[in-house]
Amino acid sequence: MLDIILAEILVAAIITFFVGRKLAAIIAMAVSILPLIALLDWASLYGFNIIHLGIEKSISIPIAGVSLNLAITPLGWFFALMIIPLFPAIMLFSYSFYKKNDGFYPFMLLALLSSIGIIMAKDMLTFFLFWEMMSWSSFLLVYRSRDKEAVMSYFIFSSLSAFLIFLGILIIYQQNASLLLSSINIESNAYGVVAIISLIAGFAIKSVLMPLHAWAPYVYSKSDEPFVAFLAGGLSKLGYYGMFLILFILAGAKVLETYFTNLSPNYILAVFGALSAFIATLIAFMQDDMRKLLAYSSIGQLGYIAIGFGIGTPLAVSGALFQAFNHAFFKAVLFLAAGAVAYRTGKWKISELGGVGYRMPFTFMATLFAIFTLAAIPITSGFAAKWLLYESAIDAKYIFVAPIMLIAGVGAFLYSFRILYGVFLGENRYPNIKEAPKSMVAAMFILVMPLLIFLIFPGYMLDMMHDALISGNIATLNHNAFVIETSLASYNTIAVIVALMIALIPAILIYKTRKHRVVDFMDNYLAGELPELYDNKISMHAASRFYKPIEEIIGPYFEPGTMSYYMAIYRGLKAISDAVRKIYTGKAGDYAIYVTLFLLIIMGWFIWM
Amino acid sequence: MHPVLLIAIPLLVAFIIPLFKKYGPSIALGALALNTGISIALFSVVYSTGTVHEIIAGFAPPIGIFLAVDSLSALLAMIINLFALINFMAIGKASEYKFSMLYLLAVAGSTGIVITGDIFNMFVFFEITAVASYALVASRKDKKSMEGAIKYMILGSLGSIFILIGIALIYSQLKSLNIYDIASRISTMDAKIKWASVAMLLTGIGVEAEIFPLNGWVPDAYQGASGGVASLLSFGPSKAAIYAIARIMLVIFPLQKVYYLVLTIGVITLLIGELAALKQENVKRMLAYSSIGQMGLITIAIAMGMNEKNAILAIFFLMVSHASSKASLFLLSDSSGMGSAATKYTGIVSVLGIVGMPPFAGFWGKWYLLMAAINGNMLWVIVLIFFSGIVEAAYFARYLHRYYGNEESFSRLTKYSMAVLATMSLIFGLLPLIYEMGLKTLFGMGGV
Repeated sequence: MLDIILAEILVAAIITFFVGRKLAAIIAMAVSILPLIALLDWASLYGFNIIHLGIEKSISIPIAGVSLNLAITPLGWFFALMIIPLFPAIMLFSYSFYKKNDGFYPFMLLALLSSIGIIMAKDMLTFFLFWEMMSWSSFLLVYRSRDKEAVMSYFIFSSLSAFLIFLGILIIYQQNASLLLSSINIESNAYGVVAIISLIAGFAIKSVLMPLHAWAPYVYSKSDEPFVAFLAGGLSKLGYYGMFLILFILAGAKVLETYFTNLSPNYILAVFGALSAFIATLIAFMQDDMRKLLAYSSIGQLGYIAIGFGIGTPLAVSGALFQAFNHAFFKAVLFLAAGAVAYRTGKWKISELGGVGYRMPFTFMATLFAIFTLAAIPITSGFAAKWLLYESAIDAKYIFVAPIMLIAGVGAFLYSFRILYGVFLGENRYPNIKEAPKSMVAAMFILVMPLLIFLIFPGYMLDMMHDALISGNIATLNHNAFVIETSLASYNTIAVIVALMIALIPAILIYKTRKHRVVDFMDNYLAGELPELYDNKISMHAASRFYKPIEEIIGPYFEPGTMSYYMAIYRGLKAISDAVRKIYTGKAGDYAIYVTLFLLIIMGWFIWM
Repeated sequence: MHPVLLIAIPLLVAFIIPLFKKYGPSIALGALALNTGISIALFSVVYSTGTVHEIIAGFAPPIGIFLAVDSLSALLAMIINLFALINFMAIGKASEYKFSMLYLLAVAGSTGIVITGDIFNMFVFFEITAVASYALVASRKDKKSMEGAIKYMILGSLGSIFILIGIALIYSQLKSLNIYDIASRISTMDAKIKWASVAMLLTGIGVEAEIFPLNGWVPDAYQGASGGVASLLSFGPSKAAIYAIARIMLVIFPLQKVYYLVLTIGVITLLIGELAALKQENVKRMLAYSSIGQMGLITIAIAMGMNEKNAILAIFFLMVSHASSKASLFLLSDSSGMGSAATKYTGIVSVLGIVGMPPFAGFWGKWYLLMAAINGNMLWVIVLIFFSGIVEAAYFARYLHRYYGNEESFSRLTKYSMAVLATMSLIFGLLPLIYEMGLKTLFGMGGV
């Protein structure tokens, strides 16, 4: 059955290459149903009796003389939960998004196939093979954007990531003479440490941890939204899957700790995560392009997962996995919403949009809920996840990480507020557009569902990750459906809801009793400045340069940008290349001299060495 | 099916072609098809029974001439003939009878190098291949192709002389030309003469195998040649030559001194080739430099093959991968674009193949090569291979970006032939054929 799932996705990928766009979307949607059913069936292995079909959980596929071993593990199952369900929804969205079938569906299906392969890999060869397949199939999807920066940076960074991972795998192979995950034991010596660090760096590229994120803003902002939704929501989690595997299941965190006695390398991972969350949030303030804003938001939000893995306590890791799950869904919704808005208006710039929500109320609702979760507004599941993370940082006395995280958390609301206000509310600039097509709206609402479930029952999330945590030798938190017990306090959904209600009462009272005035869009009631740089047609609020004062202060610090450092390396390489090229002078006489010299040198080598 | 037919048929047909000028290309196509059939039959024989030794003219070796088809040569003979057939179809109408004749000679020569078990015969086939290749490079008849052909000829002749001297040195000592006979008695040779002969052979064959710094002709010749010829050079003569190096180094001289030398040469060739390609604007030149890099990779695999079974597997995979991907890229380089579905497919698949993405053959090549490197504790080689891989990714990303989607002017047959050629890398990356052939080989394990 498992091999049938992989085979049907492969066959569908080939078929969708040739058929029309609507049929392709339907086929792609249909084949992703079977893995979903399998996912529910495997749930019974981890204590959830949803259905019982008895789909076996381990196979091996012969290819080029070796066999690829796949098995469903608790960790793989948990990550599958946040990757596979995105797929049918995104396909539903794409049903009316595309005008023609030009390579989107086959490569998306290959990306799905390889993600399933990665999270089910039983040995490192299988893992790496599917990792590379995922890299190139997603590269071909990025390729459709035809944007030079996006294409080149994605290809080069993917190769870099692949090589770092390959290096780690090679060293592990040398130490264990085996590639089976179950028999790997990383030794605590310099080689082992190099292996762990290069693996984590390789994974960090895919999960856009700063400073290895440089490709993401280009790729996320230039590719098609349905693909970016899958890339940011699903594929970026594969990097964290790999990190969990190395740090906890293969006990890499312990190896690092015993090797470095003085400084804690896990702390460094947490710091990278925190900086990523903080800096990306600041950069997101300054973006006018909705997709770029969401790209930096992704970098920031994914940073939290690294913080959790870095701290490494049960509380932190639970929070990180919770955050990963939330991020998969809310970021997919947000990118799809950006796609839906652009589908109707053709615009991505916040300064050119406004009032879209009056005409697209359902898109607005989905976006609103996703943004609440992103910004960790209380009672959303985003709040529960970040609560666990904050508490773990405080508990572990990470005095640098905890405050930065908190600031970044507030920042997340400040930039996502601009999407709500600048795109969906405000001046009604698009009075003649229609709501997004039904399939798009349906797709967004499907993706919002899981967030709603875990809003009410955050404890269920801990149930689902229970076995994954156990397999990584991490204790689980005490909890029931509504309450998560932590060491400092406990997170209680009911209590949070009640507290929120109580807090809302005065707010509602104030809102009801105060008189309201209708403001002009040139009114600086939001304490903004008059936008003298723009002509007077652009109204002044969240739409354009809302955080101008902040931008003026922090902007210069981000001036050259990370990409420029990578570009400097690239230019250096090109200079070397130019020098090397000069060896080939083009004169036959020189070449004849090279041949003779070569002969003399190797004769000398043989006779005197 | 006698393996000598593989050499005899194209040689014979090449000399018949001038009698039927008008039908030259069709006759050549027929001969190539026949040859492909025979090479596949030979492959299946070797696949099921192991190395085939065929005696020619009834004299038993070591005195008589004989053919030794081991698993790698069977594979390469099949690759050369099959790809030559597809490539010839891709060249299509452009070929006239002289071209067909030279083409057949080059194919016959390359196949001969691969399946002969006699060192002097190897030299003769080298000469046939080289002379045909010089003329093929010049066949475009413009200034660039003349320039390339002349440089190729100067260096090629220089190389031939060294091969001949190397053979003469061995013969003067051992009075034998049979590879296995030489291999079994190599220790009885005078040390200085032995080393001189190794150096001569390595230099001479290295010119044809595009090893740095003997490869000065490569960029100019590939740039001057038409796409079809450049493609032939990349899967025919150069593969045969690198195979000859593998056979001579692994069968005759599997010695520690040679190991370090060949490894160093391989690493330098890899780095020089990939770095030179990075800033190259001309597609054919870029692909030529990239070929140099790939040859370096195969040379590294040959060096490691002296101690490591995994590296032998890597030689197999890398050769097939490079032959398939580079051949289709060269064919594609005739027109500055990938406009239709077939050419887009060709471009993407060949780039993925050459960069070594799974499940293409190149992935397994790199995988086994690096496995061998880590078993030999050579972290520096691994890091350099990774570095060159990233450089390679950079210029191929640029290449795709520049040419994808542009207008093109290929005939339908050319497009589909290219696509088939590119797909070979995928097919050989999925089927267990190469792996099983690789396990059968006794190369570098002290056997024949």
